[in-house]
Amino acid sequence: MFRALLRNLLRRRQVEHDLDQEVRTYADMLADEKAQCGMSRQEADRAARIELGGIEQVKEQVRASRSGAWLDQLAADLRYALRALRRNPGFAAVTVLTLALGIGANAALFSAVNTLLLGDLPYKDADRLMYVSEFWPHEPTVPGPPAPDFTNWHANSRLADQIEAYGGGGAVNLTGAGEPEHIIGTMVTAGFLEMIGLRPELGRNFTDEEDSTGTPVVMLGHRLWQRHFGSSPDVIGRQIQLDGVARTVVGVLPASFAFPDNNFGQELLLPMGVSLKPGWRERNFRLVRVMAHVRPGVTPDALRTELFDLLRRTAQDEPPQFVTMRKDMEVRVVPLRQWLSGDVSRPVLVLQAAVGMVLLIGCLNIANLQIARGIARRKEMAVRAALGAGRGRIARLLLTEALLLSFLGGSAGLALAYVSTSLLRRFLPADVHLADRIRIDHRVLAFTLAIAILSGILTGLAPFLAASRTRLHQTLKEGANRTTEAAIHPRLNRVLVIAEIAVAMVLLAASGLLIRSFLHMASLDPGFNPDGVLTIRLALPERKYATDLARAAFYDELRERAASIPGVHNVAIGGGLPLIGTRALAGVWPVDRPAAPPGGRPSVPIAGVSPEYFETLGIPLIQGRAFTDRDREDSPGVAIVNRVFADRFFPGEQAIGKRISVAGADNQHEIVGIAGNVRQQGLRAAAVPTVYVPYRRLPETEELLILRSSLPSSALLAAAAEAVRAIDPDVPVYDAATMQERLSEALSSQRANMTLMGALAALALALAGVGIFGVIAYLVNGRSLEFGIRMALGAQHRDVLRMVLGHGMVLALAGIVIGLGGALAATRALRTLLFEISPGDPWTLAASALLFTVVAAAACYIPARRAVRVDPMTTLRHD
Amino acid sequence: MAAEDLLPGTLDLLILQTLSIGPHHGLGISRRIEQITGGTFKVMPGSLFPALHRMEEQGWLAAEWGESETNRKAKYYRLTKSGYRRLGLEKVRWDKVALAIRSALEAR
Repeated sequence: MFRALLRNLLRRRQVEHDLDQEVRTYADMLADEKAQCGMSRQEADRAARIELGGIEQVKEQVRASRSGAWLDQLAADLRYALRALRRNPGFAAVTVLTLALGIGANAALFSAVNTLLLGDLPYKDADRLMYVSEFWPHEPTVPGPPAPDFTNWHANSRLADQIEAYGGGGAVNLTGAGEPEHIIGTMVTAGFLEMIGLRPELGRNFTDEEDSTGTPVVMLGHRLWQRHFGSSPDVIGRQIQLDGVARTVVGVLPASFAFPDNNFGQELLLPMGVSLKPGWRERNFRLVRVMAHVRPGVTPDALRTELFDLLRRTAQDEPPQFVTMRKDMEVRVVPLRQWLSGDVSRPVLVLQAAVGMVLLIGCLNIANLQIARGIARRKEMAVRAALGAGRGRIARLLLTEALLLSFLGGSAGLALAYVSTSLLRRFLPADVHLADRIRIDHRVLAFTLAIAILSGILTGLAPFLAASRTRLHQTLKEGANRTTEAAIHPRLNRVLVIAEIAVAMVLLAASGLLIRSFLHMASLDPGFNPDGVLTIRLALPERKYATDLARAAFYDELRERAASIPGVHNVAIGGGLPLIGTRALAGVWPVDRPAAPPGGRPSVPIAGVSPEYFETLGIPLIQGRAFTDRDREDSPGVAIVNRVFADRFFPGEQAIGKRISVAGADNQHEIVGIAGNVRQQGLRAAAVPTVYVPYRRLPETEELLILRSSLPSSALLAAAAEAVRAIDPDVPVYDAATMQERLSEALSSQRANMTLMGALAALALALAGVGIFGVIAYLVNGRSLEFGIRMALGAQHRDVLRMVLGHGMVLALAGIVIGLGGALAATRALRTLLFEISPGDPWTLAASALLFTVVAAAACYIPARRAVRVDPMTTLRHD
Repeated sequence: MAAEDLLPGTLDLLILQTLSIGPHHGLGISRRIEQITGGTFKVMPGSLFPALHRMEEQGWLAAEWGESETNRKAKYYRLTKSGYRRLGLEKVRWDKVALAIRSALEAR
């Protein structure tokens, strides 16, 4: 057996020669027989050939039965395929490029789907880890639960085995061992490492006791240990100096350690010390990230309910102002994986569907080209069939050709995907914490291989189906390139083009909806002027600035120092910002009304602001006056409300001069001004009633410094940070951003969706246009004789033009109508991604259909014009 | 009587049986099968040659070039040892099949 295989492969010429000789001898001996029976030699030879059924056919049958025949045929098929492609490099290039783009885009997006939705998390029991956060409506961007809530859950939850936290910390200077280093450290609760299933590589974890007594201990990250301590095992028990405080090293982390999200330094861990802060007075100490490890089978919803109930039980001990703020707060629990992939699951899946459609269009296009080519190659195929190639053999040949192309395209696509994953990482919003883990792994490779094979089958099968329908004798008899319409314009061809147009139409409609959503959002009046405004967050240490007076004094001085920075036009302090929200929430009620039922006061966001706040941010004052420096904590209470507030509480009345009482603040406030509405809680949310009071009445530990200037923001930030340091070096400055940046950030996910979908739709439109062009060009080519006759018999140019255009437009319109139906169904999946537009928006659909019609007409017109430019005499004489 | 199509699996048996008498070339085997089956089966070259080559690869047949009675250079096939063994096996199998078919047809 094996020897035969070797012989077949290695001594091919000898084997072929023997086979030829053998079959010929058979034919000759058959003829000898017939000659003996009295036939003439010539007649006998002919009769023998007929009885034999063709020497080449018999040889082909023997070849097919040999061992290793498939290998042989594969090699032959590949050779044919390469030869055919070399003969037609334009077709090969277009096909490989189309497939490379299509497969590359699919592979790149699948790498995102793979990581965000399917990937493994490097933690023990990752499926039982949940991310826990609180949502306070007045402050939608700060997720961390206050310390008392966390200690309550940590001690009392029964559904979770463990509730732990990490986050906070920040930059520290490491001194006392080698070169001083500036390192970002992160605080963790004692049980955090154990919860995610990690053990220190050296030494031990923090103990509960260390956490609760505030013992100065530290754990080192693997890289810091290698870099700074030369991987020395003696490091355990040593003292190191962090910002001048001596801390004892108790452990070293394994190299594999990483926080679930990448916003935290991993080189140094410090104990959280949260158990030192159990009371409600510590509510301003926020746990940045809280995670729970639930018991088996506990759902996020069950845990959420339990945690919420735990909070309600302790609420009686809290001050009334805090209770009011709690009224609308929510506890949120999401599985860790879902949290890490952010809100992008849907957009990513929608985009995956879209790139799938683009690949489908590309494949349909190639299939169509293949059919056209197949018709040109009918002769070749007919000759092969006449020489004994079976249907299966021809199918295999065409399939090999298609697969060769799709593998070439797939390899190029994979390279493309490799490059574009880094692009993709940048495109994803910042809350997609898994984005850094997106890469091409074995699953992405398998997926790419699968779609390459699928594309190959799809593009190779159509021409085979089209080719196998034509009849052998007819083809061999036909003239060089003159045929009837049915033969040059097979039904399959038309069906493919219609399908292609329909799919492209769906993409076009979807991108139209996303573009209009973005335009709606971008054209919103945010209610402020973002130009030249820099905002910086400040956090005053709670113990040092315990009184309102101390805090107000700090802000007074900061206003003065910042105003003296050259180039700064306006300086303001505020407890809230457009797009970010306010720190505080208060129950308010008009004084001249009957008293509200207990607990019935509506809670509205409230912010203490300095006199220049409105001018600095460019928020218009519609009526009344701004605050002045005479509005202090000891002067009569005044407030500015926004327009929604005035309309809600004093409809049809003059709000200026009315008095409101604010829960927690002991006196009444007279409304002295009405400010314009701003989008307080992001661009998607409408403005809510808001109260502003002079900041000296509500000086909080966290405020924003707002500067309007003509300086570049980096220079301004440095100068502002210097001003803060000059007053108190212990006050951290963070989250600096211009209002332009904050506005752009608020638009970013909408912009990303629009850009990607728009690019895909443009690609789909172009591919579909090429598809229509190809079909019509082929039709014109094949029917040039007919057009020549028509024109010779007196048909005008425009008659022929109309005929060709009519053909193309019938196809295009059929595709567009089907596509519109598909779009109505498919765009419903987009609903959550749209802004102020409904998925079936008729104007968008109509515009997309119109655009498509224009492109289709253009794609038909070019080949149609060629049809009429031909001189009828040349065409007629040609054959 | 018109030539019948061969039953599946019988071609190998007929070729082995033919060659058990002595070596033969392609046309000879074909004529021989016609003769011994009384003209019932006629083997066309399109099935004969693939079968011969397959059986040669399997080691049941050996082939060498020789002169035919009409002085033509022809490939002669003969049974190898393993070919004789195969013939025995095929015969037993055929008897079984034939018996089974007959009793099936006679069953009421």
